Amino acid sequence: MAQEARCTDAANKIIERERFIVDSITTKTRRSIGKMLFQVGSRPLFAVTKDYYLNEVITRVGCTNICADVAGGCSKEFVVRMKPDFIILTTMGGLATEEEMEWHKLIKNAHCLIVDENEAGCPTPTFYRKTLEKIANFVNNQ
Amino acid sequence: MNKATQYILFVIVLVALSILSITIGSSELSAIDILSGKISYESTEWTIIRHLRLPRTLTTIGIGALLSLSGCIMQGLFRNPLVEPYTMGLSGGAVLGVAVTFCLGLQISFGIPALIISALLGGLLTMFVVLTIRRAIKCDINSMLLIGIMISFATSSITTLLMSLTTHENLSQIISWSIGSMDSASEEMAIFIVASALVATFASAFLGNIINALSLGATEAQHIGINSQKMIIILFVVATLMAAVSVAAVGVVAFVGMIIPHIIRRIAGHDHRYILPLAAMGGSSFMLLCDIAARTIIYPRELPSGVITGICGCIMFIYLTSRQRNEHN
Repeated sequence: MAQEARCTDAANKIIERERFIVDSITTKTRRSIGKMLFQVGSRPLFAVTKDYYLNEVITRVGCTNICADVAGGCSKEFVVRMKPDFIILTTMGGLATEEEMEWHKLIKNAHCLIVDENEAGCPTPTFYRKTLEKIANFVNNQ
Repeated sequence: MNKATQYILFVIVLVALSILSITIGSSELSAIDILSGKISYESTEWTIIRHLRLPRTLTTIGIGALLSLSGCIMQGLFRNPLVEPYTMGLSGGAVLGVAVTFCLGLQISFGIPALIISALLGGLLTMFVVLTIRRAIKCDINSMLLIGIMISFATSSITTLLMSLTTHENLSQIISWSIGSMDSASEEMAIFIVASALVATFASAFLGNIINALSLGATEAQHIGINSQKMIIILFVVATLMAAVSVAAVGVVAFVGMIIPHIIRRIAGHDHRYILPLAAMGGSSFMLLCDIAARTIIYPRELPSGVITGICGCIMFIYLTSRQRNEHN
């Protein structure tokens, strides 16, 4: 895209800057912090699996994706049984707050964070870094 | 088989399926373990039973009863075994209400209650439109059925229009709402739905006599002292409320309102005083069976219950119709 718009240098600078921040977050992160559910849809419950680029965010912050091997949606019962330590929810068109309350009721020790679905779902270097930064800060502060 | 035996059998099947629904899932928990208190209140198993399986089972029982009763009343009223809330456009109206809410973004400010209220209003508005048109053109009850079918097409088209104009996030939410699923069942919802189903079952038992009279025809009912026009509207409103409450809670679950009353009539005859409670129990049992299948067939994923009821209902209906035809021949 940058080549088409003839701004390759500016794009490369952005990519380098974001890559540096992403790498620094990754090296700072302690390994095996805990288990994580990254929910991107409700009714039916839809989570990030190993084939999503957001799965990389989960592993970069040092967590294990409980839905890595699940194809598509999964049940709440499955999530409760897996006992995630962290639950990341996208805004899901305004339904995230209710979902967060539900998870607090079902999994007492889980820490929940709501992230903007437009930022988390947009794979540009800047949005990727922003989402990673937000989740890394949240995980490390718990 | 006499009436008492039939009632007892239906109760036994319902209780057995309820126990199965609570014990079956990600890990099979035996009913004896649950009842004997071997499961700790702090355990994951208890959380699953208390907060997920129990509310879900109760909601499923209530939804099955409400849909089946609604279908049974409408079939008696219209003297047509193909009538159910879905064919009368009530479910379509509820989905349209939900689609409008998503498109206006009301769920962002008011959350899930906005969706439930809009579905309820959508169903009731459809009923109001059907009754208004009926009054305006002064048609008989069979034409009222045709009006319902036309309204159903209209609501479906408007919903499709909204879906084609909205964002893909809203689109997926509207689609999932239009295929009924029990995965959103909560404790509050379970209490509300079960209470509604109990009230509806008792109320409909009192309405059985009137439905029996109206099954003979509006004029015949008038001759035996029933205000047919008034009672048709009252029964239609009651049936609509039952269907609207269930659609508002879990989305559109097709075929329960059509197939269960049909089966019950074949088993227990045509006396509505007697078959309405049986239809409620039969609807609950059928919904439980479909929900158990929906959450176990492709575990850890879940199918919407509406998919299972649609497939089972269709197969059962074709089988029953072909059997009925063979018996006539």
